[in-house]
Formats: sequence, C-alpha cells, structure tokens
Amino acid sequence: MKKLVAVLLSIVIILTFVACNKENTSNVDVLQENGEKIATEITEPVTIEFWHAMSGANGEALEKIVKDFNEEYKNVTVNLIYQGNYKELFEKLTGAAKANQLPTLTQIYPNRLSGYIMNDLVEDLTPYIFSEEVGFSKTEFEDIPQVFREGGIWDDKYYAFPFNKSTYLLFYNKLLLEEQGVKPPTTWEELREAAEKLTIDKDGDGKADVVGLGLQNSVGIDFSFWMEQAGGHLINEISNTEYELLFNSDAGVEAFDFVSGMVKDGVARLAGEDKNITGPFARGEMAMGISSTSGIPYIEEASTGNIEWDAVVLPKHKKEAALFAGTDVAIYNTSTAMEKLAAWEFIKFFVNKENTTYWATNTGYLPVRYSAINDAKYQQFIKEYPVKGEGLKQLEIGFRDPKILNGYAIHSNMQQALEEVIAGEKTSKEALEEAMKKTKEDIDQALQNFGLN
Amino acid sequence: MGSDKSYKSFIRGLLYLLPSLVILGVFQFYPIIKSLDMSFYIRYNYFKDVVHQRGFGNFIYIFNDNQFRIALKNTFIFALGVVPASIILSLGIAVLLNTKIKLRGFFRSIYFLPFVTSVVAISIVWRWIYHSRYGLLNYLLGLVGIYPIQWLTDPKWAMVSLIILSIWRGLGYNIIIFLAGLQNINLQYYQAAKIDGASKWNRFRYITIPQLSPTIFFVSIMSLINAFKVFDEIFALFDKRPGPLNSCLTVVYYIYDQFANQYKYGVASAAVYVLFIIILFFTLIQLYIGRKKVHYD
Amino acid sequence: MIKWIITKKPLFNRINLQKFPLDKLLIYIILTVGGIVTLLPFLWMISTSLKSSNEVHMLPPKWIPSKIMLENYFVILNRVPFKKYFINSVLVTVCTTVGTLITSILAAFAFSKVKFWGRDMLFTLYLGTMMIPGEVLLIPNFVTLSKIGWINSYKALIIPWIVSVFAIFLLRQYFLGIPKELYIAAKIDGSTDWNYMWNIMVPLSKPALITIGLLKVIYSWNSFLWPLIVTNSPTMRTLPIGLTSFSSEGGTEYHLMMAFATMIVLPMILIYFMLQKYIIEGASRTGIKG
Repeated sequence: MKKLVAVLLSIVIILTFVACNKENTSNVDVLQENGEKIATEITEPVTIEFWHAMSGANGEALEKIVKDFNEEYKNVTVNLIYQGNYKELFEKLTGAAKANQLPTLTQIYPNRLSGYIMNDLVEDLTPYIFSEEVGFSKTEFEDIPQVFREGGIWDDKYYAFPFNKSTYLLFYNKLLLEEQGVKPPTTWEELREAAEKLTIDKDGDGKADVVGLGLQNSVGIDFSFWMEQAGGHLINEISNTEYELLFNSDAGVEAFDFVSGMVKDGVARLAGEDKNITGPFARGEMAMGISSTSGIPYIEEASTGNIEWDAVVLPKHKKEAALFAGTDVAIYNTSTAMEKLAAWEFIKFFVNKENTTYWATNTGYLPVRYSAINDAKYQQFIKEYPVKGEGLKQLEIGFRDPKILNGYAIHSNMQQALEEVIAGEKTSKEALEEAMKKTKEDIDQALQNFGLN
Repeated sequence: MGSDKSYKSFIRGLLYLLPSLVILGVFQFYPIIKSLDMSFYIRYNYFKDVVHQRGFGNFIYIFNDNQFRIALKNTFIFALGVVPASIILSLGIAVLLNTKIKLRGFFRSIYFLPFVTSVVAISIVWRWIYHSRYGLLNYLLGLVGIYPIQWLTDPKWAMVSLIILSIWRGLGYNIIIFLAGLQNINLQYYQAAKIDGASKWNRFRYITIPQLSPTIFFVSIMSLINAFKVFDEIFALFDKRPGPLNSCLTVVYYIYDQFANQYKYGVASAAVYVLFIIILFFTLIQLYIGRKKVHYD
Repeated sequence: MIKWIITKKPLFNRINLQKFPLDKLLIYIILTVGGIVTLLPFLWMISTSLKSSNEVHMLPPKWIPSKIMLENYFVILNRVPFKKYFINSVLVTVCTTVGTLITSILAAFAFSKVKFWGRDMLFTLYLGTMMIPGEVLLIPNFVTLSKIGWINSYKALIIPWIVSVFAIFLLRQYFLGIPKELYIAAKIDGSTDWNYMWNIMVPLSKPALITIGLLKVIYSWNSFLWPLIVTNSPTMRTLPIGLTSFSSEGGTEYHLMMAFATMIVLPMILIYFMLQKYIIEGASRTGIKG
C-alpha cells in the first residue's frame, strides 16, 4: 500500500512539473518607447504566436503561407493558434490582456482593437511602414487600396494592417432562377420581386420547399450595408471618444421594414439551426442568399454535386454601398522588439503580391494589392472563376464598419432589435430607438471604464 | 471532542488540513469577498485591473436592465418547468422500480446513464434531434401527424426544448435518490396497512408519500438550486447564444455574457451576488425545514 | 405517468383478473418506454456519426446508414487536434482525481481522528462552502489566476479543483465508522498516525475512495465553463471545449459533430457500466454533484 501511495504521489509530482514546464512563459522585455526606435534586424531566433480565426479552406491557405514564411525566414517561427470564431478569438484576447499573455500578432476588428490602443497595448506600425530598412516604398504602400489601409488609422497613426478582406455578395441558384425566369436582382424592388417568385411550394403542402432569399442569422450584426443602401448611417465618429449614433433614422426604419418584411412574409428566411446559409443554399432550400465572400469556399464545397450557383454585387436602393469586412492584423507591444519585428516581417510577407494572390485564389477573401488584382494571371483566374472577381467590382462603393470603442455594441443591439421586429414584438421604430439608447449606454460605459469620459 | 488545546496537536491537525485549507482559502473563501467587492466596481479598467470608482451603480443597473429581468424571469420559468415534472416522473419511475420486478438493476442503469455523460456533448446531440427539418423529433412527431415544430429557432418553443433536455438528463439522478428513500421506508407500515385492507393507492398516498416527504423535499430544493445554475446546456444547445430572442437567457448566462463578452465585471459580479442570495435562500430553507422534517410523525 | 397508473388501478380491481400479472406487464411497458426514450438520443448520436454528409440530410431519416462511414471518426482525429484535447482531458481528469483523493484523505483523517482546538469550527466552515455555487467563484478566480499568470496552464485547470468538500465529508463519515480498537492496536504496535492513516484507514476505505474518485472523474471529464474561460490555446483545451469550437463556417456538419460527441461520451459510459455500483452508490449520497 505504501508503495502505491508513493507511486501515486510521484505521478502527481511529475505531472505537476510537466504541467509547469509546458506552460508558455512569455518573457516581457522592457517596453519600447512608442516605437521610436524599432528593431530593424532579426539577429536571433524568435518564435511568435499568431492568434487567428480562420477555419476550413481559409485556415489551410493561411497555414500554407505561414509554412512558406517559416521556411524562408530561418530565424523566425510563426506559431498559428486557432481560437475558434471571431467572437471567441476576441474573448480570449481580452482574457490574455488581463493575464499579460497577449500574443505578438493577432487578427482583430477595428472596433475591438480600439480598447487595446487606448490602453497602450498596441504597437504603432507607422515607424515600420515608413522605415527605410524594413518598410514599404511609397508606391508599394499605395499599391494597397485605400479603403483597406484607412481602416488601421487612429489619431493619424497606423495600428493595424489589412489582412483578410471580404465583402458581401448576392449568391443565387442558377437553375432555380432560370426555371422561374428571374434575372439576378439589382435593386431592392427587384430583390423583393425575385424573392417572391422564387419562393416555391413544390409538393403543395402549404409550406415553401424553396425560400426566395436566405439571410445569415447575423443579418442584424452586419446590417450596415442595408442601412447605407437606404441612405442612412450607423454612426458619425467625430473622434476616438466623441460620436453620434445615427441608426435610428428614417433610412434605418426603411431598411428594417424591408428586411424584416421579407422574412415575415415568408419570402426570405434566416439560416436558423444551420447558423449559416451555406448548408440550406447548397441543398437548394434557398434560391438566393446574401453572404460574405469569405463563405465562397464553403459554398463551393457544400454545393458540389448538388447545385450550380453564381454571385453578383449587392442590389442597390437609394445608393450603392458595399460593406468591406474581414479583419486586420495588429501587433501587441507586450512583445520584445525582436518579436515585433518578426511579426512585421510576416505581415509584409503575407501581403506581398505573390501571397496575396495565393490567398485570394484559395480563399473567399480579396487580394489587397492593385498590382495583384491587375496582374494578367489573376485577371485570367477571375475570368474563369467570376465569383471571385465580383467582390472587387465593389471597391469603389466600399465602406467599413465603425471603430469606436465597444463599437460591437452597435451591431449586437441592432441584431437584437431586428430579431424583435421579425418576431413581431416591436415595430422597427421602437426597436431601433431602444437599440440606440442601449448602444449609447454601452459605449459610454466602455469609455468610462478606461477613464476616457 | 476537540478540546485538546495543546499547541502541538493544533499544528498537527492544521498540517493535515493544509492542502485543502490553502486551496479552499484561495479559490473559495477569498473569491466570496472579492466577488462582493467587484460588484461595486463602477468604473473598472479590466485590462489594467484599475478601479476608478466604486458604488452601488451595478445593482441599480441590473435591476433596471431589461436583459437581467428577462434572465430572472426565464430562470424561474425554467425552474418551474423542470422541477415539478422531473419530480413527478422520477418518483413514478422509482416507485415502479421499487416493486418486485426483474431487470430492476438494468432499468436503473439505463435511466441513470445520461447523468454520467458530458452535458455539452449531449446537448449538441439534442440540437441535432431538435433540427426542424432533419431532426429525429420532428420526424417522429410527423409520424403521428404533428406539423414540424421550430424547436430551436422559435422563441416560444426554445424554452420548452431546453426544459425537455434538462428533464431527460436529470431524471436518473432523482430516481436514484428516490429509490434510496423508498428503501428506507419500514416495510412493516405496508404490511400493517395491507392487513387493514388499504388499497395500493391509499398505501401510496398515506404511507409512501409522507414517509418519503423529506426525500421529496430534498430533491425539490436541490433541483431548484441546480435549475438556477443552468448554463452548459444552453451554450451548447443554441450554439453559443442564449436562444432566439434571448428566450433562454438565464441568470448564469447573463453573468457569463456580461463578463466574457461585454467585459462588465462589476455588473456580472452584482448579478452573481443576486444569484448567490437566491440560492442561499433555498439552501437555508432546506437546512431549516429539512432538519425539522427528519422526525416525521 | 404516475397519475395514469393511479387512474387505471381501480379498473383492474373491478375486473379482478385472476392473479394475471397485468399490472406487472404495464409496469414493464412503462419502464421500457421510458428506457427507450432515455437511450434514443445515444442511438441517434451513434447512427448519425456513421452516416455520410448526404445521408444526414435525407428524409425520412434512416437508423442504419446505407454505408457505415467509420471515416467520420478519422476525419475528427485528423481535422481537429483531437489527440491533444484527449490527452489534456485525461491528464486533467487524472490529476484532479488523484489530488482530490489525497487532500480528502488528509482532511478526513484530521476531522475524524486528530483532536485539536478549532476542529469542529473548521469543519463547519468547510461544510459551509458546499452552499456556494461555483458560478460565484468564476470571475474572481479568473482574476486571481490572471494575476499569478496561471491562465492557459494545466495548473489553472487542475489546482482549483483538487479539493472537494463533499468528498471530505463522505470520507470522514467512513473513517468515523472504523473501530477505535484498530487505532489502539496500531499504536501499541508502534505505528505513527501517518502510517496508520495510509496503511490501515485508506485500505479499509477503498469503497468510499473509489466512489469519490469516480464521481470526480466524471465531473472533471465533463466540466466545461471553467476550462472554457481559463484556456486560450488548443494545446490546453479539453474535449468539451474542443467540441463546441468545432463547427466551421461550412454550416454544422452533424455527422462529424456526432462522431466527436460519441468519442467524448463513450469513455464515461464504459467506466459507468464497469463500475456503476460505486457511482450510483455515491450519487445517492450526494446532494451536490461532483
């Protein structure tokens, strides 16, 4: 018995040691002063963590680029860490910030990054971008479309760099549209009309087997393009701390009425349990669907052998508008100078012409360089695969979501509001009014927490 | 007991208790106080752990917060949906299992099975069962002519789905407790009643129920407390959301959301204390009445 | 259900069947129906886990797939770091269980056999913690672990859970039932308290220790909210967390999810069927899970 106890005890002790040693010890060097003097050469081997939320084909493409990078840069190892979906990634980042365990590099949305910038946790990339040794030339920098670049600016400084950029498109089932003699809609009116025609009850049981338009469950979260198309805006961002919420407007009510109306009338439906339109769209249960281009590889995979499909730019209403979503990358200043430089090298590597082309070809995201877009090979590619070029047509009418601190409150409250309207619990006006009030409280509270208001 | 005041034995005793005492101290006693303190954080920089201001604001906030009220309401609905049904069902099955039948152990094992399985895994299985188009449940209901129900996406049905899942999962545990209680009833009561010619129903009504009342009471309170802590099921069943239109937003989910998604540590801590007081209330009732009821007449 | 039986009973009395065990038959039918309802989700899970993606979305659903897709399990093994999750789950479960047993033995011994000032007061304090719901402790514990740098480590997953007051309570009751004469005899033989505890008390309490251990194993293996919050890399995640983070944008792949779920559920079902006596015994003594 004594022996057994001794054995058990030693197991525990050993395991505890193993556990301790396995743990990542992030050695935080002396923080650099505002990035004035950045490292310009990697003189020793460094390993950096890159937290991301890319899964499926998107994840595989990222892994490939990272593998190439690790091979090319002998001194640097980029460690990819998948954190689940975006929401989970951002949750983990907050926890890590608190525990002083932030990674060197992360994917992040501007409205989430604001909090870190205001707490002085993010590396200013400006000195890197314009550095003679490790930066971009002017032409190289301007090769990146402005709509992407601008998203990373706070107080005239670059804190984030465009990474995986996507936009929204209208996907449609070719056969179903042909059968009903419907052309891909270009305006809201046509969209509504098409959705009505494409809502079909095949077996006559009083229940539609095909619904005209499919919407993501998160339609309220990514509602800004409907709002813009109706001529409205979510917010006017005056500065980092001053803002004016605008979504409770006539345009907002019109957009809410339009979208919720289609769902209530049964000519549109949310993805529901499938969470995402990919499944039902690919099974032919939805004739059209609105989704981010990031879903293209999934739609492709799921539809093989089921349906033929294509995609077009979003229908317009009072004006044309297309949301450019997808995250940027940022470097946390809690890392050493060498780690930060390594991360910067990776960013540059990722957005070079060759890799951004590879990325855009193999995922649903867009190339982030004009030179890559205009390259003959890529142009040939999108001729053969028009869906992937469709998103680029929207560059001129593109806009981004707000980056105010806790800006996610806008999106989550609008989602809640839209769900209430669809459920018939509130009118669009009531729901938006309440959402705007709640959002204001949420944002102000966040500003107060950081002593900014 | 324990009046040996010698210094040495005190140290000796403490040494034995040291491991558990340290861990309970750090992870149980301290957090109770810390949690109370945190519930007063009004302006709190969670990145840097700096408290700018303390006050009662969070308690005022939650009682004015529509979401918190929804959470409280949903939690009560959930508890009322689960506890009585679960107790009636499990008591019934326990009584049947307590008759002289074969395969008794076998049935008992089966009923208890859900209880040893991961809540998260099994809730995801139920998510699939509830699928409106391809799910097993709607298929089975379809066989008897019931129109497909939107179990997970209709706010009116979401809570029902959650309640069914919870009853299914908790049944076996309650059955075990009831069986233990039933076996403690002195058989002489029944024999005496039989001689007096009491019917089965009367024996159940006048012997089983009163004799079992402390157990029934215990199970009710425990089920209530557990109902107030429901979280994992919701998280997995509705895929990281509190059901459509917050229809399954419970108090613990609210706490989780405020803490992990919205970073309102103070608000979350205030909600924690409200939950704590509710549960403490039930626990004290259990201790008070439970003690009294032990000596049934 | 009980009501139904009740209303039926008088009927049988009136008909007065000659000892034909109709009521017994009824009991069997009810119990069997209940048993099927209990088992159905498990069967459905296994059935789906063996289907192809197309067959999952086929109506009417089939119980036996036309082609058994064992591949689904290999997909899971390869697509997610399943092995890592599995190892983590095993490691955390073993460590918490062993830890709980050790702390419980020590504390239960102190509370039953060592006399010292303040013992009863401490015991009451211990029992008091059973009234605290774990949810209360979540946020401050997260903050504490952040401060000492334990987030995303095995320590965070294990250390807070190696004390179970219920286990201490159960074991203390057991220890108290061990006759004093044994202790006196051991003392006469020159045994120390420490040796007496390990060599006599512990072997004698095997059933209680097994019960405690098994309840802890089940609890640890299935625990969710805490690992969800304190881990932030796949190298630290446990199986249940892996399952919830396993769903891609490609919609929910139910056949794969069910394969994953099966692999989480199966080890506990096996342990349960092998050692159910102890588990049920333990559960019937609890008021508190775990």
